[in-house]
Amino acid sequence: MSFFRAFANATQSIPGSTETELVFGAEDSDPDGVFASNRFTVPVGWNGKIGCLSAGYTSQSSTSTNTLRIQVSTDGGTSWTTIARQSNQNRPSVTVTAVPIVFVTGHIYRVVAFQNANTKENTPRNFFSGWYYPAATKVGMVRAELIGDLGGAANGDRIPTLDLEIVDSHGFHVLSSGIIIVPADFDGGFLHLTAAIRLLADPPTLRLWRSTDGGTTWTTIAEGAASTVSGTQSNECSCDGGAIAAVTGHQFRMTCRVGGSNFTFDGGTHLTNFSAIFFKY
Amino acid sequence: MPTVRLTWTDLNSGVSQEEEHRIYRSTTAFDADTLPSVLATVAADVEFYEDPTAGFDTTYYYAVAAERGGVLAISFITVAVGAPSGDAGLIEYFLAKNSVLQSLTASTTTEVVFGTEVYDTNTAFAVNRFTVKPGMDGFYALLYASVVLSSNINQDSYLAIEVSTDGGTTWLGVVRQSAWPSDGPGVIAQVLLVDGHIYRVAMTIDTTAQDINFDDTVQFGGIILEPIA
Repeated sequence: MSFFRAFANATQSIPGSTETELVFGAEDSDPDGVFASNRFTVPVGWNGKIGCLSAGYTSQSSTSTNTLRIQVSTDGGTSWTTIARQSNQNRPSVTVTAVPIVFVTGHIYRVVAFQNANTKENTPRNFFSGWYYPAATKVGMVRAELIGDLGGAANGDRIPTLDLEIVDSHGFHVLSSGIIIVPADFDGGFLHLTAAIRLLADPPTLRLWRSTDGGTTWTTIAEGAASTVSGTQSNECSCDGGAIAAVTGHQFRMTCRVGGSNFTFDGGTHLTNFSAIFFKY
Repeated sequence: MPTVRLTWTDLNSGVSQEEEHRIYRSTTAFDADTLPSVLATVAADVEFYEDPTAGFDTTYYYAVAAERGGVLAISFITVAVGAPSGDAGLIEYFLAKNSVLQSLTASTTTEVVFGTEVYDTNTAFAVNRFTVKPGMDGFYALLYASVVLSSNINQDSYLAIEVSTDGGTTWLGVVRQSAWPSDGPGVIAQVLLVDGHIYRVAMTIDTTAQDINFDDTVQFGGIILEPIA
């Protein structure tokens, strides 16, 4: 096994301008038992392997400074070095990625936020995940993009119809609905999700969702957004959904939301897309 | 590349307190009379060393010596680094970082310079760009890039991973992150590789000149994977 995913199951007060380690009180998957007390410790079995770490952060309200960092300690947790950093501003959400990483037994990784005083939301969108490249028996990929402009209503979660399939190696993507479904071939493995949006105007909030009951109910698992301040726009963002368990029939989708005004996806570019790489071992 | 981590217990203190630890390495066995040149030194009281320069499928002979006044107390260990089994479909991974502050011109798209290569296992990265080699055609890539700016930036500014399908003449956005007014945007993309396509990172800013800081998190990284049906 070669991945883990943990997420927040409670709010967390984040003091202003203080580097604060984030709390992830629940585990979505941790088959190797590598995650404990909010931190990932590299086990012997991951030593020398090549992989990736991802994290997502959503606060309860917009904050003028919002930086998310992945850090490593090589001395048992005494000192920490930032290996990846991403910031957002005047928006509540951001994701960060560290890739590639060469894992070393005993190294410890954590996620910290540095921002204006706020409260971390109690949501699975606050996550910490990682994977190494396994002795894979199957590796597949799906990437779908938007061909033409597409409208969306204000304050609603719009699913873009991703009608241009760049690659869909194992029939993951449902063209009519824009949903990715885990086939039986990859049951027991994992996938790494990413997505991106470009709108004609307006600052988007991009969310990734999972349904474990055939599409009846959906839970958000990651969120990205374009930075903005009041009265002006920025209109492009990407989002790292991180690693997540592949279970036959589980579904994934992306949505876009804009508060207060109708919006339009900018089709015909590569810049609105939904993708995943699947691993089975 | 693999990393070999050596650990030891430091028993020296008081009048026998070491001044430093010296690390020796060779691919042939040696003893106290045939020590190779020093690979690295670490400070007194430190009890580990990580060797990032080891290669796969090689046996290494290491020695750790506590040194005081030119006198050495030496311990030996042999480490066999295996082949990268299980990584057969991992074709390439690269990571590059910037090495100097980079100035950005107002109202211009500027290619980000990455002067330091941390990894580039299949020599696909050169002069700030990742070029798809013939053996990678049809493979999958996970790409990520981030920058740190000298100050918050203005509207209509964004970081992008771009692709050129004509040898570097024209560039098309693969993914963008609007940055305004953030100082540290990042972008992630998963792409299907085509032989000869070139990927770069570019920063577009509006009317205010700006700098990309010399920072360890200004980076462009990727993992290239072979499809397995």
